[in-house]
Amino acid sequence: MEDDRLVRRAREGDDRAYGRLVERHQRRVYATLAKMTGDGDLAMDLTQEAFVRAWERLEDFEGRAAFSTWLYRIAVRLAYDAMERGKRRVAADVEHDRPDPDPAPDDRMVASETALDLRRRIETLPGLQRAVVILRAYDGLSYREIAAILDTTEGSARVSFHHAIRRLRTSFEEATPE
Amino acid sequence: MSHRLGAHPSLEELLDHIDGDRRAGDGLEAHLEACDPCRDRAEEVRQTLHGLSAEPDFPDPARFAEQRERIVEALPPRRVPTGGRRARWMTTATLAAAAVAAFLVFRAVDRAPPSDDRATRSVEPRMDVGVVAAVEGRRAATEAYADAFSSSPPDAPLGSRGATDATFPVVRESTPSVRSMDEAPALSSPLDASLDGTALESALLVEDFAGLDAADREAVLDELEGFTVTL
Repeated sequence: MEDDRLVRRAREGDDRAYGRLVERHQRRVYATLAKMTGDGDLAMDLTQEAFVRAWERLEDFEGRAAFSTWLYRIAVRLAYDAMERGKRRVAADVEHDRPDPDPAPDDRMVASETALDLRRRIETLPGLQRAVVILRAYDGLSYREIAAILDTTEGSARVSFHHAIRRLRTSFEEATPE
Repeated sequence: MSHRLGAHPSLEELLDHIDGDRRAGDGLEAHLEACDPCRDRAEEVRQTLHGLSAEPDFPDPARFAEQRERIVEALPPRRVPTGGRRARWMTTATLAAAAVAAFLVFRAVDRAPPSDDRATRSVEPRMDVGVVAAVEGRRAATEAYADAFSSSPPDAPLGSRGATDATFPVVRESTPSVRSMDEAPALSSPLDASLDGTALESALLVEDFAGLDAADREAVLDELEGFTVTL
């Protein structure tokens, strides 16, 4: 309701109302983009770009979905574009920074799923899988919401999520000594 | 797809199960209770999901505040669609026309008719001529109002004039209902507040109107056709 009111005012040119929308969604958009890109500075840039682009396209927001869903769509696609342009960390970073191949037994559980390790593995995922896994596992969105954001079907979103988890698990198992 | 009792679950089934999805059925739960490797695998998947759900490192809150300012500063002027601009123009134009028409009548009562008699047409302007007069007369009205306004007490803030502003010399006790515009613009009509804002905005609206394409201008005029003001 609050978003609806602010969007209406923003459409009429009220940039203060839009500033309030930014305040309401800025952190979550940044967090999703940071999780996707693995780069905080890039995530800040993309966050700013997402909000400016959303302002320019407010007429396209029809109100059938939540404003946040529509905003996420813009932000995630910007992340896609950024990754396409080669701004993502390449998989070689993962190759160069593998975890200790022979961790002590009592460190194995800690080393097995450290946040840093997982983040790097996320960055090796294809763009769509990366987006789905973040939107699902981090943002807690339903497959329906993810499908709306990524302009796909619920089934595709679910399959992408499964594939992403499989790749993460496989890469972890390959890196973990027997 | 329900899980076949005894079969090791696929990763997808584990994910659905962890999600609370009942597709896998009760058989999966029973299997996990009985199968250590699958239970361990399920736990590892949970850990992966838990790691994915972890918050990223957030920058200092001040950076977010600075970013908000940059975003708002970077916002380009809104390009309102034709329909929206037309609708906005008509809504404000209706209010402005009502206020300006009242102002023109008030002025006409007090002064000799100006040379441009279009600016003092009836408050019930005929069709397109009256509307065009209202549009063109709006600029003259705005300028006249601004001139009168500038002679007002310097401490009277813009927009605060009106019957509700007790500090402003609204109506001189000895002044009849008809006042000379040579005096300070001590208007006491309830239209004051709207006149303040809309008179100034009306000057902009003239520009907006001029900026519309021919089709939109015709549409606006068509909408205002038959517009009347009741005082």
